[in-house]
Amino acid sequence: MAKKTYVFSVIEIIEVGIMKNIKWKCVIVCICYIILRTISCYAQNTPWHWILTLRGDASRKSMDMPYSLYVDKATSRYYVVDTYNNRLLSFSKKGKFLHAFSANQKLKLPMAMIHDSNSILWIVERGKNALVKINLKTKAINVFHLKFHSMELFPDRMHEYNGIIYLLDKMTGNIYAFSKELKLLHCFKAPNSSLGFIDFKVMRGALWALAMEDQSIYRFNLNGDLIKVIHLSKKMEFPYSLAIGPTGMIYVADRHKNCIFVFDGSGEYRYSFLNLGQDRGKIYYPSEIDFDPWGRLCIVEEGNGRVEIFGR
Amino acid sequence: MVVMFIATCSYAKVTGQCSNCHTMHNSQNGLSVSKNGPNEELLKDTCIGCHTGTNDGTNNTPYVLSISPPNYGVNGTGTTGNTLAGGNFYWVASSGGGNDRCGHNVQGISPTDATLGLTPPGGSPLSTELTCAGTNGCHGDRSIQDQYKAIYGAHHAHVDSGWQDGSTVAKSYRFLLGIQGMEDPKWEYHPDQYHHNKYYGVDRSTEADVSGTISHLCAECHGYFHHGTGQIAPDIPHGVWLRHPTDFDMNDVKNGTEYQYYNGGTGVDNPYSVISPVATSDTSTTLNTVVYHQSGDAIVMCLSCHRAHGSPYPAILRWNYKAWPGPGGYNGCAVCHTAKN
Amino acid sequence: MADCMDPISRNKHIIKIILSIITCVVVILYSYNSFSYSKNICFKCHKKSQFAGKVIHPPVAKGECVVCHNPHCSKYKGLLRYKEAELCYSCHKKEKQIFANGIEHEPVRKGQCLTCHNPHSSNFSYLINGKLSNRCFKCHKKLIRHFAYIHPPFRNGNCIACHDPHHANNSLLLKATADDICFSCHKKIKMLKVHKGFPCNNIGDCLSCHSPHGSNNKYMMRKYLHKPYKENCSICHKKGKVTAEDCLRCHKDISKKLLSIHNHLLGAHGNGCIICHSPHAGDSKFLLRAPQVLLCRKCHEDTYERNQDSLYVHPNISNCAECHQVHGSSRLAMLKEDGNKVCTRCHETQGKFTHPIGAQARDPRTGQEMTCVTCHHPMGTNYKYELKLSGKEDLCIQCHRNY
Repeated sequence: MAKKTYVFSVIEIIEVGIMKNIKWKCVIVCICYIILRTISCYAQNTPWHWILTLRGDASRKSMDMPYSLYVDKATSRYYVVDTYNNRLLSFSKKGKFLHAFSANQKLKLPMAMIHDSNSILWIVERGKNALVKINLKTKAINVFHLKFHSMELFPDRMHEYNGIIYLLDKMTGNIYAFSKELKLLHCFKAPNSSLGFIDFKVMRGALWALAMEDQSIYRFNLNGDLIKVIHLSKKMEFPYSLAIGPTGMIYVADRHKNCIFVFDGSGEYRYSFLNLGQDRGKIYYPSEIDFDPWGRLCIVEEGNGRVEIFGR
Repeated sequence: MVVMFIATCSYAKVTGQCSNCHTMHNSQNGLSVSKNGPNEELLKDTCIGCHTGTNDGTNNTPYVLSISPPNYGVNGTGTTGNTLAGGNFYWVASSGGGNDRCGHNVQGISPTDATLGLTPPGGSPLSTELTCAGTNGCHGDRSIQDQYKAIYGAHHAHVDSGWQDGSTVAKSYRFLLGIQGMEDPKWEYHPDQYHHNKYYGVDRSTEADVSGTISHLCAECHGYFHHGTGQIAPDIPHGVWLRHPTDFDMNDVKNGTEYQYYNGGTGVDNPYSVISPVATSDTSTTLNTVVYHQSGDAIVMCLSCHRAHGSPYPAILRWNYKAWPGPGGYNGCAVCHTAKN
Repeated sequence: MADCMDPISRNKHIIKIILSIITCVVVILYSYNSFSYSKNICFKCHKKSQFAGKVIHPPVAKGECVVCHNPHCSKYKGLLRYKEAELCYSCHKKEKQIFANGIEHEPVRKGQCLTCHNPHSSNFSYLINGKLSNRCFKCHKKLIRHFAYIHPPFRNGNCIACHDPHHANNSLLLKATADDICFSCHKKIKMLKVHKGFPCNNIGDCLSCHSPHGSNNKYMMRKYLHKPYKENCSICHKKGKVTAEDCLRCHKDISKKLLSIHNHLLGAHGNGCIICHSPHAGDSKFLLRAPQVLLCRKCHEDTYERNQDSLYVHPNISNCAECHQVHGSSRLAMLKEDGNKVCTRCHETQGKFTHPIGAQARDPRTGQEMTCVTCHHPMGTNYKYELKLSGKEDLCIQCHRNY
């Protein structure tokens, strides 16, 4: 809240207090509350505040090592990949648990998922080292072991954009674009970094990839051509996931420092927020961050077994 | 109008660092923390282990067992020394002479009574030796066998001020589930008229048991001395007494009797005696500093003559009954029986 | 302004200005004299001959003792004006900026310049406090120094021929890439001739075969040889680049471990295995390229620093693989087992009697199972027993809120 709003509230309260002859003790208490709230906001020095937490299911079985999140704008649903429990959990926009899906306990360490509009689920399963396609209507399950130039891929992170599936391969550290028929379309290589990419996002006609070794963001066009390398100005301990904000700001989750670093579009450090902990509004071993379609920052926390959603 | 909820704080009796009482692994520098093996609730010691020491008025834990001889006070009534309201187990413990008659034989403090065994006088046999808490004990929930489970939640949830209504273990007088009363914050270390426990009693007109009184707690084991049919007095209050009255109000008989002059008073607003205290049926938080102020404020109870834990005297009496009136003068019985001077 | 004042005020103003000037002059002269003062006063007790040497630190040579020392009192040892490194960097500002990049040598990171340097004088370059190798081996005691075949720079104690004593962009503190350093003396053209028949007719990654300090094997070959390397290069080097798949074809057990939530498949254009393992020869039977800690430190420098800077750390922490499953694990922090079993393998007593842990005991804040690592952080904390907060009360009340 802006300072002006708080001051106006204080004056209002005093006026109301006098008019209604309310005891001064109550008025003073209210004023103290507003002052403390103001100090708290300034102390945090961040425009982000906690909105809700996605945790566990209706039977209170909590998540265990959740790895990623998929947000379906059409149905306003969050899908959390509860990896160690071999299941996918869905939540409403307000955070209410809806459904748990395990494909009849056949999922093996799911890492990422996409839910496309044709009742098809695409799931990266680490336990099978495969991309699995599940038709929710027919219950058909197809397992695909992907290859690139006869080399088996180790799919890790996955995103969909305009009907194309993008997969991060741990074997090479590159990102590959596949059609829905799993025909390889493009390869996004990390030229300078020998360890490859650790995370990526696809949005607004570009692919943004985070390289941990040189702590840089690589921006590609969707044909696989490198457009720009953005060197992040502040040294992080263990950058693990990135998100691009609605205004182009770059958000990077530092998995060991347990905080989110914010950079502008040119890589200049702006601020950081959050820190290590288990309480609400703190994070522990973040595995993925992303913005949902409503501009809220979602943080998947492996250590705390939950997803916390923050808003401005 | 902004609505503000102010969190209220209640201060538990037990305060301080968790590590003062608890140990996570019962291991420190490669050695066990607890001498007798790990304790439940991650405690560093047993009940008596923590409640052993010498009271000096500044301790935050009440010590009910001392290793060295406690000071029972100059007048032999335990009100000016370093014992507390319940007395001290010293005299029944082996280290203090092991006199079975001078205290309750509690597990971990002294062996089973050599004469009585597991049968309390005036009551039915226990299944094991008396314990601090639990089914065979006094403190905590006496329907729960395990001592630690019986006392669970009491130490941290307890609020030591105000009237304890007995509804939970934490809200019971001295964690005696169901027993009401108000607690002296210093456990009656050097009590006086204005600083003492406020015991709850009920003026009975029949021999039937009543709940919630301190005498009822004693009667759970020593029932014959408290209630029954023809056990106490056939026609309370005027009949012949077979046993000393308990849960009986002296207000009923004070006029024109020796009891009128309780503790040297006149019969109205007599000063409360910490040598031979009385219970009250008043459940307000006002301390009963005087007796014969209102009906129900001079109720004879077990603790009028006995201590709960231990004393230097047989039958855990508060004063030396056998040597009475002894060097202390006409205290003790004569606080009430003023004509027996 | 003076024109607006009355004569008395004007005079007062002028006097103030003169007094200020005189004060400044006095301060300057005093400061100047205090330097020359030290020449005469300090060396009366602290004999100047003590500070003689081939190389003398300039402030000492000029007798400017008070640049570093407070002649009256100080809260730092040696009556230094500031903490050790802070004092050095007050002049060596450029070095401070340079050293902050990359990985710092531990004495530099801790600001302990005097571990190696003599602040007054020395008979050795760069004010090194004695022979260079003696300084190095004072800390690096465990380095084996006696081999049948010793690399001359190592034998001569010329550590800085390869290593940068202050900082580098790698955990071995090599001045450049290993190959660049090797080829700076051992010219590549010449080396190609003696490494005939190598795949792709090229050489590189010298340290994957040779030990840079010494070895009991000829040509300073490392102790343990990879079987294919020993028998026939073409077992691995077939057509095209060697990838992790080639490694996993034999090391099938590792292949299974990689099918975990977290694994150390590290990109590296298809062969992440050789980031940690030498495919040819090594000094350990697992053919690690460096001692475990140095190897992990390549990427986990932050964890290493946390461990070094913490007041309380788990002892004997040099073997990361003792607790962590380095190839792949589905446990948090790539632990070998869950956060209880991995600790109670050694801490049996604490495993037998403990705060409730396991599936029945859930952290009320997160719903996660309570484990040893809910309360302890073995990599190091500033609280006793490597607790995350003080074990006296603060840690307990994170969950036991009502107490």
